[in-house]
Amino acid sequence: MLPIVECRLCHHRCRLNEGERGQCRVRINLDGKLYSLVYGKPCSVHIDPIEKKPLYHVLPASASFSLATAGCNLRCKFCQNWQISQSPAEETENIDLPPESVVREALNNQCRSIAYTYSDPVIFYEYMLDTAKLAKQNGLINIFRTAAFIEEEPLLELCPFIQTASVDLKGITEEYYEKMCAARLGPVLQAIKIMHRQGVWLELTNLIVPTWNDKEKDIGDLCRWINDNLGPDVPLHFSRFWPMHQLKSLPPTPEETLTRAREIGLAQGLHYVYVGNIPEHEGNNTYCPKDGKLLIRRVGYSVLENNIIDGRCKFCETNIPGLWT
Amino acid sequence: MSQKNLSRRGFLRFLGGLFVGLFAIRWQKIHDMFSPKDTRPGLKEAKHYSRGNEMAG
Repeated sequence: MLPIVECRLCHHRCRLNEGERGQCRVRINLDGKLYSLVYGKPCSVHIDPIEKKPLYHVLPASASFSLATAGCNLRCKFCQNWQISQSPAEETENIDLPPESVVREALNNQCRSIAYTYSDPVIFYEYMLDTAKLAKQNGLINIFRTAAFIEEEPLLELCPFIQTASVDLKGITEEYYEKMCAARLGPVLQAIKIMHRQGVWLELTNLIVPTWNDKEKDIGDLCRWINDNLGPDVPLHFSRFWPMHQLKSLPPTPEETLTRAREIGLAQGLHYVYVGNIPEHEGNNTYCPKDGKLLIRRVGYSVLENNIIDGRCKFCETNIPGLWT
Repeated sequence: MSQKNLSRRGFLRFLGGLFVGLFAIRWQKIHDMFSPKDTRPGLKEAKHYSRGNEMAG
């Protein structure tokens, strides 16, 4: 009888009999060994502005070579990429793109970074790790766009190769993570702290979903956790929910809710709090935390003005943290 | 053959060539639509897992 395997990539710790797949749908027990089914087979490949990740403190106005495979280890009811994240690889249109081809295409298209994104790159871990190693050797920045539901050991192996992470901190209660995402909050918070300690540049995103996580207390608790555990310089992006997937009956997040969330974050002492998905909002811009001057003006994903020179405010020379060059 | 007939024949040949060219482009697009995508799985042994009696508990 062939042995059971236990995947230790994420905290689901799926135990798989011969032929069984993990909850992510893309890892399988074959002949008593665990295999990825999506190595080198992305189903989404695009060149995006880096601001779309969202990353506002990394290589402004640069292009990011972005890719994803099918599958995901979460089940978020609001997922905007559910067609690929909640599908096995057999149901997506994949292309053959090994790690060396990813790096070559990124360089040929004048991209300065590679983003592992759209679904969740935790589930295509081996592909991401091999590509990230090559990318770093070739002077490219690696962007880990993730919900951070990953075990410590694989995360520690990955950290030396990823310079920046855009992390979804979806809520601040275990109940929210269980009911909305079929995951757990504790491991996510632990992974965020690990990346922070390892020197990975972090930017966090919180999608505000009406009636689910839009209470001022929840937003305040989330901001407080960030300030207490990571410090005031980690950027936080509040993002607007649009009816999607299993939550089509809910309305979009009101603009006032996002504006209020930003006020709460700034009042809690966070220096960089942004509002996404609302064009022309002042929360699209970066301001100096010391003199309040406008540093980076954005409209949508476009940078219209940049007053950061050598990583400092042009006006008062305060250090503005980020990866600016 | 009159000049008028030669011009008409040339114009008809041009139209014929144009249609052949357009059809070739359209055929290629149709062919691409139904060409099989890469359906082979990207099989690679995973990292970070344990087998059988290596598992605790």
